[in-house]
Amino acid sequence: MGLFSLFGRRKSEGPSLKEGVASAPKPAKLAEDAYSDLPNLSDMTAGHDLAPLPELRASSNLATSLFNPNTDFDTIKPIRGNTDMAASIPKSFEQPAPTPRAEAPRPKQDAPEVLHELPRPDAAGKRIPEEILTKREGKPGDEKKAIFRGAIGAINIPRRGKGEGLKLISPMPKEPEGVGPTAPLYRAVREGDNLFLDMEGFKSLRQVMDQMTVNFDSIRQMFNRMSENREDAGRVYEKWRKCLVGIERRLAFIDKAVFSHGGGGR
Amino acid sequence: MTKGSAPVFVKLENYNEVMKITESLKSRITEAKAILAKVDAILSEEQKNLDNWKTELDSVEKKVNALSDALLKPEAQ
Repeated sequence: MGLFSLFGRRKSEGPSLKEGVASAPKPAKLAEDAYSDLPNLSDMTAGHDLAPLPELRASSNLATSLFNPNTDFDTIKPIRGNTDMAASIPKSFEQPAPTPRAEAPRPKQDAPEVLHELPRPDAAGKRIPEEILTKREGKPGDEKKAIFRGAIGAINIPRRGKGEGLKLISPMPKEPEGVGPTAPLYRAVREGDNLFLDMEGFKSLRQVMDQMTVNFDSIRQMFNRMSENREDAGRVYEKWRKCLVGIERRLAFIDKAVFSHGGGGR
Repeated sequence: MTKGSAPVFVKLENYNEVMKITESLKSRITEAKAILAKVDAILSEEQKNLDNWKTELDSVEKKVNALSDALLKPEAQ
């Protein structure tokens, strides 16, 4: 009421639904002939040719250069005097055969910088006996990575070198359903009495150990509680036994008092 | 191997010994499971005995009540 009085108008004077609201004006020309100016697809002859697309220049970004066979990432030189570290660095997979499209010349300045000079495992004279692919605890965000790695593992990718040193163990064992997402793989290289785990594997192992520690704490607490319960139960059993002995003694007394001397003569 | 994506490996020593201990752990866990099954059987037997004891005690209680009734409320002659 106050609002209507503020504008000097009564509520009954407002527009009703029956009156309706004035519709928006229609466009002056909204018929099929409005599109008659546009050419049909069949009419597009040489006269309506579009401008030719510009040719792609030789790609200069890094993503393309990764697939370029001229990209030589293997020219990483060994660290002087550190041969132990050489065995800890596994070789990566060999690049697949280049396609003709990928043979475009690439500017030299696109090659990634080599920060450290690292040796190849073979260069150190130590052959890596086997590469183990095992599973780790899955994190919710690792599903795509797991799918990708699983796909990579399923493809028979030729190995670098002689192909003797590394061995992939796949497929990975299936995790029971309901436990979590598909566990991604991590890489481990075994050499003699040592095992080289990548960081993901190491973190996963650390998590498993922490979880087992928590499990054992819980088990220890439960065992202590059960031990206390057993001690309590032993005391209660002893009390119950004494109670039963008292009942039996009293029954024997009643038996003797009632039936032995005066009564029915048992 | 591109810049920033070089894998880092952690060296774990005494791998063979760790694997032996892991195998012995498995056998210990199997043994612990067997012991737990025995404990479970003992507890089940105990529960059964408790039920029987309760039944026997109820029976004794009824008999004592009957005896008490017979002694305290003799039929009038």
